[in-house]
Amino acid sequence: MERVRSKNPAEDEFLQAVREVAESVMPLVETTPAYRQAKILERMVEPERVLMFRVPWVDDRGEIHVNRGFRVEMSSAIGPYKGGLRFHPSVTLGTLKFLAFEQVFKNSLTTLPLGGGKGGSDFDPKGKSDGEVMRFCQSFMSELFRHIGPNTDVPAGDVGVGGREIGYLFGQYKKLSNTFTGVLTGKGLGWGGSLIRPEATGYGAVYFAQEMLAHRDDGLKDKVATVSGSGNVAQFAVEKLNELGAKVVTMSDSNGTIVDEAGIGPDKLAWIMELKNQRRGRIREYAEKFPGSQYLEGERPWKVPCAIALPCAIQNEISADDAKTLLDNGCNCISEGANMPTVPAGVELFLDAKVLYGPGKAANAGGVATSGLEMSQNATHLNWTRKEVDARLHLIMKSIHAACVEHGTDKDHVDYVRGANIAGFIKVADAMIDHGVV
Amino acid sequence: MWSDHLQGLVPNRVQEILLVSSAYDAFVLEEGGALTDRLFTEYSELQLSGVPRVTHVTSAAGALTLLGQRRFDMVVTVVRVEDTGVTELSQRIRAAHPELPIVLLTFDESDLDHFPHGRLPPTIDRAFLWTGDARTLLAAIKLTEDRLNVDHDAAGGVHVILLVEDHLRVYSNFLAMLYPELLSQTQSIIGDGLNDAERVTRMRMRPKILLAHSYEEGLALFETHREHLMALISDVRFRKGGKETADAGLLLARHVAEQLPWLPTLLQSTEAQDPDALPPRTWFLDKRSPTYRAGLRGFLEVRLGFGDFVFRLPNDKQVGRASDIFELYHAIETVPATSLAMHAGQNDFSTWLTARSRHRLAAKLRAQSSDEFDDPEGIRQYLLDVIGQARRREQEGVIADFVARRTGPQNRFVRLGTGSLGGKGRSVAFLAAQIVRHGLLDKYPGIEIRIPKTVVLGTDVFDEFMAQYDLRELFDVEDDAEILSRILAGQLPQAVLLDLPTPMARLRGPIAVRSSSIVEDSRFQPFAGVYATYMLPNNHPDPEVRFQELCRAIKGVYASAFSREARNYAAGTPHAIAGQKMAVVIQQVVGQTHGSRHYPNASGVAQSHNDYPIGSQIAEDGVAVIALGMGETVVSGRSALRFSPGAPGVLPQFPTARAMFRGSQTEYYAVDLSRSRLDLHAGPDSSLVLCTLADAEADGTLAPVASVYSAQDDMIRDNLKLAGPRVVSFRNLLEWNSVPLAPALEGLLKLLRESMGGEVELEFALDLADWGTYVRRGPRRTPRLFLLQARPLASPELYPLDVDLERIGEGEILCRTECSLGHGAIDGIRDIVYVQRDDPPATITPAIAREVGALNTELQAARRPYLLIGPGRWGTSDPAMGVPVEYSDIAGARVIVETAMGHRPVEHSQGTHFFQNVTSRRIGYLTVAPRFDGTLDRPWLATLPSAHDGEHVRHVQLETPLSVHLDGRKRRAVILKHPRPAPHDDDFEEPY
Repeated sequence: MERVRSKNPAEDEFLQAVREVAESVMPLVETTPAYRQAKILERMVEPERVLMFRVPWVDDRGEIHVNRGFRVEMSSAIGPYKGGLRFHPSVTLGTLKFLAFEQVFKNSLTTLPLGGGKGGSDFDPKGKSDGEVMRFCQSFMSELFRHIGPNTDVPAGDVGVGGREIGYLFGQYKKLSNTFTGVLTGKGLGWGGSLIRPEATGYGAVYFAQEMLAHRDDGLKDKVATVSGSGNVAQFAVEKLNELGAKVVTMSDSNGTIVDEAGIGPDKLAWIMELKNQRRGRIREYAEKFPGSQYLEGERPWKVPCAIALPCAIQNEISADDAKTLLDNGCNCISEGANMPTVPAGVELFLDAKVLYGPGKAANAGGVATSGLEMSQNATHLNWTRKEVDARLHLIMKSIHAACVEHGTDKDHVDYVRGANIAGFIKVADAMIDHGVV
Repeated sequence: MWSDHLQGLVPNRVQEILLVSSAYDAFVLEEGGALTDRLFTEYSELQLSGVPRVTHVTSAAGALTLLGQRRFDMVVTVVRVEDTGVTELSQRIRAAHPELPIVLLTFDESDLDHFPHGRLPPTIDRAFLWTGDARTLLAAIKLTEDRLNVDHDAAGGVHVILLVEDHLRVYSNFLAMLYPELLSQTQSIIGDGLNDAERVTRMRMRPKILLAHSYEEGLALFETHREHLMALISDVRFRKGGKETADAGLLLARHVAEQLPWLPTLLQSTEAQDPDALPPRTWFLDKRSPTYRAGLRGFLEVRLGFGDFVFRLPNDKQVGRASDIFELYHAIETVPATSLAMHAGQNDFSTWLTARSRHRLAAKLRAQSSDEFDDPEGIRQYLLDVIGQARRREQEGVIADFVARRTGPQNRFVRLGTGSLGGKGRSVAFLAAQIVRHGLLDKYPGIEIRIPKTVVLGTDVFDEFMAQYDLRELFDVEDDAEILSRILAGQLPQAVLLDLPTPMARLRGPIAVRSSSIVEDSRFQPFAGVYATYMLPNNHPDPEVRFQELCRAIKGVYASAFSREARNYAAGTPHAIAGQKMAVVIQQVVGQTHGSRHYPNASGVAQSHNDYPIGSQIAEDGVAVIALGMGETVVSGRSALRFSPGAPGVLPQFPTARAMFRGSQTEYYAVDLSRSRLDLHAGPDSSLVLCTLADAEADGTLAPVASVYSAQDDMIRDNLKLAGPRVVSFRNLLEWNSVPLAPALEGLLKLLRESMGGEVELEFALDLADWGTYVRRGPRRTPRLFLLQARPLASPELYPLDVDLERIGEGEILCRTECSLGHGAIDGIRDIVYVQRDDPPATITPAIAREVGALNTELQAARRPYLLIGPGRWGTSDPAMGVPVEYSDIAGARVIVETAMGHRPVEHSQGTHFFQNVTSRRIGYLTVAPRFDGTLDRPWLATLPSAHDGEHVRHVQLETPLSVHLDGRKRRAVILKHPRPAPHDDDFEEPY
């Protein structure tokens, strides 16, 4: 660690990420001489390539601005560099190295052939017109285009880079390279994007829960499930839970939770989707619309007895108390659709209780997986149907689950946290050994 | 003629006024109606050489050049002159024209702080506080004339009222009230049975008013004019011997009473006085009393004799009454002699006759002491002889006049009745004038700029209505519903009922009936949104029913002058509620009718200065907030789109497609045409209906202003033919510039900033007419931008302050942020009211609002300004976005802190009436959120002892006051837990 620190001074986030990975895989590394001798950890923390470049652009008033562009190509051990582009004033090389490092293992866990990378700029799209964003993106890509390609490095969106930015970046790449390839993911559906993207994370979390239960010879059918949130992830999680026979009894928003013991079936879900996606109303309206349901002001769903819990709202939404309540109420399966929705003390409780706990890095990998599926469609010049993409997403989630089981099983229990950490690492490490010292 | 010898009165008249000010201030004085009307009326009555001509320049250089070329009788200026300070301007004028009176109009009392020791330089003769009432200038002119003419006219028998008052706001308001009162009283008592020439002379003989600021000044004026003194009106606390003295007025009144025991004397104060300490027969009025104005009128009528002569017996029993000299003569014939003896002994006859400018007769009666008669009947005979003789002489050859009522011109802006147009009315008139003057109608190809058809009822209609039913006492009534019922029971003045239908016939479709108080929307006391606005469908088939609805709405607006909210608001300002006058603006509602809904394509508010420029935005390009439908969406703080007219494609509010999907407008307001009868008791909003975007899409009004969010691609697409959630983006107008709304707003804001001499806020509505539709035949109608209102905004540049926030230690800090509004130091806050939860759900926030409102009432009553802390957007109407208080619920807060609403970022409520009130009253406003490096020491708050522990809100009191420092230029602010010397601790006036 000291060497890493001295080589990467003042990059606290990166150092922290390295420390966490090192801690989780150290028992494995210590007991695997090949990893030690091949200096896998030392090589992993050093990006394969770092690009830093000037991005000049002209604003609507004719004034010239200069931003700094980055691409950290961290690891191509198991596939082309893959990771998002972030446009935000806080972006520094240290931030991107940290994100790229984490991306390597996230991508690896999907079991798809995706390396890891991250890029971006200290440009702030907030406060910029479409024209300014377009000119910035074009200038950014005017340098980046020579370093990326569908088989080399495939950036995607991230903070500050949405459909609009991907469109401008792709347009400039196409013009400069004179090729129409899947060089970016997150593209518009009409020009190379993939179906199921909005649904992938929610569906994926349910598939992961399904796999966890199946591993215990159980299933979703007729199980009572609590779901938090009412955005994209929650909506599609509920949709898939309904499809697979579970009974969803809660959804929530930032103001409170609705509880419907009769179940939020497809018709009621359609009403919620209209409420949230068209009218953009509050979830409390559900209780007014559907007699028999109730609205719990200011509360989260975790007091409602359930067998399965899918936190799909925000970070830290399950406190230690909530975790205890869930366990006390008999919940034995938690699949995280949101990023880090359970506080560390809650995670400890789940692990100690040996219930099925699918951490976000595994359970919500469906989103990352869809990027891989978009690349596959681009490479084959085919557009898969919704059903095809869904089926492949299902397969990917099965694979992720299998990888977690493979590396997380301890006697008759699967520690999915440990399994996910190690599965991601081993695949990259083994590939690096296979490729020799490069 | 009997009055020949009086023809030389008033030798110095102000006929040429040089106004050095911004174009807007000039407009307010010159064309705003109220001043011109008052001047015109008075000068017509006097048949002098015409209404004073006001010549306007915007710079000192222009003023000096003009003064070198022409003769002026008076210079009126404001604090801000284009190229120099007012001190230097006055010095240069005085050097070149030593005799020329110079009057300063200030917009706020603290403007005087710019002068050394807060005193006017000697080169400025008098300052007046401009509160939106144009009669202030009338008072300034008359006071100047009186000062110039008093020595000359007193020799001709004209009398003098001595006013001693040192407080700028008080004497400005008082004289603005007293002069018209005096003139109207004079007019009323000389009006009947006289010809013009005699009226002119009588008006010239109206009492002069002299103003003194100190005991010594008052005493000197008393000694000089004691022979002609008619009354003394005095404050109680003012300077004596160079020091503020609590009983200076009492001492002066006693001195005067010793010399002239018969002299009518009025003492007025905000402090209670011991009745026993007052000199005999001295009246006392509480300046803060709601009945103050009535009391003053009583003094003028009873003590100065402007009212009827009421004959009483020594036991106070009324035995007779006379309204003119004819009736007086006949009453004298019949009333008991004891009554005559009493009144004669009190000089009541001479006082009453003096008020009627019958000075010779008055002097003759006063010279004859009642003691000289052995028999009371002798007094009767003497009075009959003297008065009868005078009447016979005066009434030779008199022919009565008939003065026809005047009505407004037949154009887009019609005015009915006299008096002020009020704040809104004046601004609409100003905008109409700007449109003509600058050719705005067709200046921007693709959009026409207009005002809606407008009819304004002047404030005199309100006064007449109030007087007719003696309704001023409603200021004492607490219950809003009772006030409304009593006002609705009255009938509008006959002249209005006769004249109003004609201009109203041209206002087809729904109409807005809006308050236009004289104090509304002035620069520092906006009273924005405090009074009522009613929307009338105006669609009943029977014209008579429509007209009756209009009359009810007008009365509803009048009733709002007395409402709890108005009262609470006024309590936080220097305005006395009793001085309120209400004009009414009636406007055609912009927009088109779709079934039972009527609304414009968009409404909005634009400000010429953007306090939060982000990215390519420039502060000077201003900022606009715009929404589909009626403007209620914007002013109530609901979701609307914010953009800068100079950079319309930049939308910092919505940096991503998803942010626009989640945060943009989902509902809009329309006038509800299904209800043709207005339910006044249901409140002003009851005529509006909240509609969904699906309604707008069905109406065909969504396409011009909306886009589609593609969740699949995470993009906004500007084509409503696509499926997906609709988002009100205005991209067709702002991004694709299909209608030049942004350039027009940018140009308008620039123009208005120049013409109003400072930052400005503009309300507008957009009617896209045939935009986006295929017109088969005939010409396409051009989109129209309607200007609804413009008002000046307070400018921080007037209050420079250098705060060094870097030198303050963290431990001392209660709160700090890089996002604040307001500028200067605020001390003396010992009370903190804070919401205990930082993420209250929407169902709780209304209860929080009620709790805050109750605490506010208590703290205001105790005159304790306080710091208010709570989550989300204060003043929002959406309970999910913050605490939905009305401004009156927090009117006593001196500093407001808004914290993040849980994890949700909350945009400011800028552009709303609420926010306008906050900024204009210079309340410190701090936004504390991590993105602004904001911190709030909540643990410290928790350690403080409770003064009130409510369900959601806690009130704590401090031993030592907080110290608040705001740096408006850097938008940083800090609140210190303890007092700390500030570089300029007087930059903020206390609200009490």
